[in-house]
Amino acid sequence: MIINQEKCHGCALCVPYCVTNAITIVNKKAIIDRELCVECSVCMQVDVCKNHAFEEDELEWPRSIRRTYSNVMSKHPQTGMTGRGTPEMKTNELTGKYKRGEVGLGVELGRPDVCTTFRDVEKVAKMLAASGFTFDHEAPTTMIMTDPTVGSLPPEILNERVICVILEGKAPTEKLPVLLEGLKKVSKEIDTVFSLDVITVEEEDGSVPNIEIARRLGYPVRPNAKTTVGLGRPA
Amino acid sequence: MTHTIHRYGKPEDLEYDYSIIFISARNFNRQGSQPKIRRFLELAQKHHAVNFGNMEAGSVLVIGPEKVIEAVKDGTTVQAVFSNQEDVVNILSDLVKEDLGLSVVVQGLEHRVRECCMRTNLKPHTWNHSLGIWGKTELLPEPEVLEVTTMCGHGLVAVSLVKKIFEDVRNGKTTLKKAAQKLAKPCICGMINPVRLERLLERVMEKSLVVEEEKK
Ligand code: SF4
Ligand code: SF4
Repeated sequence: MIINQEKCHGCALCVPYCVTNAITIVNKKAIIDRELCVECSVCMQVDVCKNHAFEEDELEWPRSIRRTYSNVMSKHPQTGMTGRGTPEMKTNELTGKYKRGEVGLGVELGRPDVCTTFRDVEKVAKMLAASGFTFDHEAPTTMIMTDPTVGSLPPEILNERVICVILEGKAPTEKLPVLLEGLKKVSKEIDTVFSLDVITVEEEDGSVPNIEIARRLGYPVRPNAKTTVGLGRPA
Repeated sequence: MTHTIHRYGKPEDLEYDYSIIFISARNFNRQGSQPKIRRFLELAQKHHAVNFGNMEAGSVLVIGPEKVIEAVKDGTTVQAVFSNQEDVVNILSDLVKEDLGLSVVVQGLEHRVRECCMRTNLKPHTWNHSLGIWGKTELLPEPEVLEVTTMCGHGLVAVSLVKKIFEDVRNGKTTLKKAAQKLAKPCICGMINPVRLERLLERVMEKSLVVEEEKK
């Protein structure tokens, strides 16, 4: 993202909208710190600049991956879709992607409010792969891995910063304790945060085994959750 | 939209915060889904959704209901936000009756979502729970700010914007309604809950009044 210096009048209205505090006013003009900017285009989309000073510049690889992951309107080249993840469990009554006896995990690096580099993404991905986790082959981030069996990413993207990267996949339920332990350990080695999703197919009796395991091991579970209610039909 | 389960807040605030995602699955029911998705949005309006939208067009708070509905194509994922349980039960009842045949995902406090399912004879199939935020949590903003920023799962509502608007509300520079509208603008999917936002802004104002009193 660039700000056309001739059009900018330095009113500073755009400054608070930047999700990474990349916009500052210098000599009565707004400028963008290229290192901080994740190319999300929020500053442009909110249409706050009456002078239309924001311009999306052509981005070359690997910087272009910032836009791919941070601008929700941009299509991911690997999936051809907007959005950074898969439908995960949202259509599971139809797709059967997750089954009883399995645990699905979504590790949402950078969210909320912190952003992430791919270096941190790779650290978490390698830990998951080494703990018996299988990455979802339809997930955009799996598609860019150089080797999904070990969780490695192309070296040239490791320093690129984006709003969020989601690692998605599953493992047999018995691996859940070791995966949570590994996530606890790696969470101390990264310079960002992640939000953690745990996916479970409900049992006939209404129980949710993966969450019972997490609670028993002392991991706090948030009070809100989401569920499919089977209206897409075949279960 | 994975992030809806990470909407941050105390249970008493989350009582006013439900979302429903209506989504098709490739190779199953995507083809010909446009009228069904439009119907879902009509039902969301009928049952007092406080916000709705889709990622490719925008949210009702910014572009209005007609444009959101018009922009729907086969396979567009849409979502709606509700501020009370009765509205959720009522839209679920209609969805059961009309049997549109697309997946419906309900988010809210787990026990409340279970009650909604029970009252509409629906059985939860697959759950997604949040185990919270891990890592360098010292980088996170204060809880009230987090309550706003986590409503937009894509992280498009800047911490600095929330802080500025809190400040404007405290200083009487803007009304609660206008402030809520401003905060909802960057969230193009329509996931911001303006009712919860207004309650939160009231709380922020009360808190600052208490602090001022204590200073005297
Ligand atoms: S809103 Fe436009 S004119 Fe004002 S500082 Fe930002 S870029 Fe410059
Ligand atoms: S593109 Fe995003 S990160 Fe870059 S200046 Fe605009 S709002 Fe900030």
